[in-house]
Amino acid sequence: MITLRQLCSFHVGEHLFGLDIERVQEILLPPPLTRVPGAPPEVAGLLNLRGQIVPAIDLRRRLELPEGASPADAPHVVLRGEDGAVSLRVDAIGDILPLEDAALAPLPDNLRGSLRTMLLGVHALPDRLLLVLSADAVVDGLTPTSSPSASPSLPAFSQESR
Amino acid sequence: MREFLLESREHVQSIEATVLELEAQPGSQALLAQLFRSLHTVKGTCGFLGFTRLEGLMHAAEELLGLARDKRFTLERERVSTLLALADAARAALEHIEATGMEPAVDYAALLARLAGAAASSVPLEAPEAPPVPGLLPWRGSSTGVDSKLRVDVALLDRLMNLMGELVLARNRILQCTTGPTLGADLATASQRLDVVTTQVQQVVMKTRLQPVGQVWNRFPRLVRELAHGCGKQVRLVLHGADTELDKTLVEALHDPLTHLLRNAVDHGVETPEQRVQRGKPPVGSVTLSASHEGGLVHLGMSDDGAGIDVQRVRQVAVQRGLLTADQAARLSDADALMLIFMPGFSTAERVTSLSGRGVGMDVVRTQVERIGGTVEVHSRQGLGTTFTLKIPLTLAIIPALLVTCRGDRYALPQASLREVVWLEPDQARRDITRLQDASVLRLRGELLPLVVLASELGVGPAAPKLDEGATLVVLQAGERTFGLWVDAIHDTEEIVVKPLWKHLKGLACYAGATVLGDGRVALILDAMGLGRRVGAVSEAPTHVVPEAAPPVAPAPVDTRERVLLCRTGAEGRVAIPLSRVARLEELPLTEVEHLSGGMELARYHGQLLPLVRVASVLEAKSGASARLTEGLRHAVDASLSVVVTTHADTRVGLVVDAILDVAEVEVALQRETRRAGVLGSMVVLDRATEFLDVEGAVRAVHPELLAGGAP
Repeated sequence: MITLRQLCSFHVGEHLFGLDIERVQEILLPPPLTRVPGAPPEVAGLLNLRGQIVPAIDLRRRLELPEGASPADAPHVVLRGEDGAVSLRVDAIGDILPLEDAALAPLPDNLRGSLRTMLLGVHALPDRLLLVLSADAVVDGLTPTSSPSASPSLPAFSQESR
Repeated sequence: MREFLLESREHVQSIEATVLELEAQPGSQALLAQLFRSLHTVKGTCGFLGFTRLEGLMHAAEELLGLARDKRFTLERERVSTLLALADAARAALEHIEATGMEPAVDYAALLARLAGAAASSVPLEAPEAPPVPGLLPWRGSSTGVDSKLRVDVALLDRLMNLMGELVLARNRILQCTTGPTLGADLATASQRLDVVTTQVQQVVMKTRLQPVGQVWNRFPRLVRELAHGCGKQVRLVLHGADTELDKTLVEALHDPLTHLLRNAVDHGVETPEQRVQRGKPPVGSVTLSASHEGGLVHLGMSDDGAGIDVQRVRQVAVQRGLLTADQAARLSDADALMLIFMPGFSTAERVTSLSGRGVGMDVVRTQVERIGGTVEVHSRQGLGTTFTLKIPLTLAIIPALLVTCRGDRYALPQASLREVVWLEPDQARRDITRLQDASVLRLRGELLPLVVLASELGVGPAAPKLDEGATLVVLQAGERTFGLWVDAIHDTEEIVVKPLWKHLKGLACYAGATVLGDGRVALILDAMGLGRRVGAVSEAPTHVVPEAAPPVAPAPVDTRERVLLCRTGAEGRVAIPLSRVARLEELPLTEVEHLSGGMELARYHGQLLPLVRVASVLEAKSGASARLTEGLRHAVDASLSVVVTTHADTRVGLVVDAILDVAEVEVALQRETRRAGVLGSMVVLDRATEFLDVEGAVRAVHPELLAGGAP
């Protein structure tokens, strides 16, 4: 029996990512964000989603992709989770793609770094590679006190965590 | 079935309360009758639903009470204990029934025998039960079923329903406005109406959440009874203001801190009857719980008439534990010393017993109370008793807040911690704000307030904003600490709905939560406690009252950390003055300085004359040279003098320095070979050689007469 998944795809930097659509609650046009000074740099801010306060993660920083100019109208992918929704800032939204579980290839061995810990696998599309993200790893791995990558890029952070 | 459970629980609760009252006034027919009614109702419903074991229990209890009603015997302590055990068993059974729908298959033979025995013997019973283990009281976990439900006044619900109707009407009007041809005026009135109705709805909904604090208290008479029996004391619990209302979540959050305080009071506070009689007190101690509304807060007081807290002992323990040096401990006022009991790991060792002092300390009480936005205070008079006062906000869900901006972002400051708002014109700011390198201090009506620069605290701005634009300051009170928060601008006040922060952001001490403002944007709520804790290093010493007793003239070499004020004197010299000796920092205009014969200088200061000592001239021992030097500097420093005001016994002396540089905490390890007038020694502070000023010596060099009487 073949299990088919629907993946919501989106672009960040040069890559195409996919997330299980079951975990995607909605797509937002760029909402006004309130920044949180002192938070890890991956936290883009807080947004108001119909009265709920939802944290927004800058996916580019979270995945430690090279810094680049995000478009001004960067959309958000809102994930549902047990502790409430979490929003991911991405560069552009792509198509909904079907994916057989069997077609999910393991990660190449030479892929290292934090990107590796957040991927479930890769999927070879005809023209490019789709990186399948684990929603839990993206959201849960984030802790303000123990994220080592956070302190050098934002001086205020080390101060906050004293 | 649910009704049966709810109702029976209440009956069991009332059985317990009545039994306890009966113990206090045995033979009261009214109470006995009430007890009978409760027992009978439970028995009846149990029989109806087929819970025969429970029914049997209630029946046995009725028999016992029947005899008591006929005055065959009174309900003394053992019989009361038996009845309480019955209440426990009934409560456990109810819980079991709620969980499984079945009566528990427990054999009540032992309890039945006890009841029968109590009924049969007319002599007091031997104690068949082991003394209860405190803290493991059988009824502790039994509150779940009741707490998830609320009883709400029907009248209140009716009002809420009416208001909802109005709310719907208001919404319809606004919807019409958006489609209709005329927008402006109609919309304005409609939204006004909406505003009024929403406020009313908010108030009424809030009222439905309010619960009398008595809900927490009703478990306490039993607790006190068991505790007192456990440690051989006699304690009477007096309750005042049990109907004072408080938000439901707060009522529940108070249970643990109050239990802890109560346990402390019975165990440590109240003395044994023999001791009490010796001290001329009635043998029965009393613990009073009181609650009242005061200025938007609920004050909860818990006082005992016991031994009080031995402040000296607290000081000793603090020193033994290495929390304070002997010197610091001696300098603390009694009130400050008492606050030490709230420090983590603090327990006066001699008083650890099986009841308390088991690691759950007063710091937990304080943390729990602070978590719900409250404060704890303690007052104690030795031999007369101790009073704890908990000040708790009415509700936490919706609070009034002041909106401030910092670098374009808006933040909400809860008004409960707000003391005042201060706006300083640029020249006022330059006069009243003193920079000590990284730290700023504000002089406000003769008080020194440490300043927290919000932008720098949040890491989005410099530590010292420009004074040329004036300064907008919000004076905050966080626990015992008062400090100024320097913000960019102040906006309206708004009622905000507090929402918790995302779990990954909870580690940030600056924020208490987040909220959605009127325009739909998210704003962070600042936590005065968290900000205040960060300012700790600056705030404690300067705001402390300088102790009355003058320190020894030549201080013994104390090997300890001390906070010092660093000043510049002369061209390059750096001098450290212990902060404990500093009362205030002042900039005095030269026009306020009077010269007397003999080179004596006095400054007009708060309607008095303040003798001045030029530190530079004392240190250089060549007053002529330094006078010229200071002469030259006078014009440079804007025609004013930097003066450090110090206290000597009851006189004040101003030490003139060229500039105030910084506050540093140093390990005092002086090199004493450089001994000269006015200097205790020197050491390296912040990478620079610094001389420690001998305050007394310096003053004596210029004004020997000032210290003639004062110093020991």
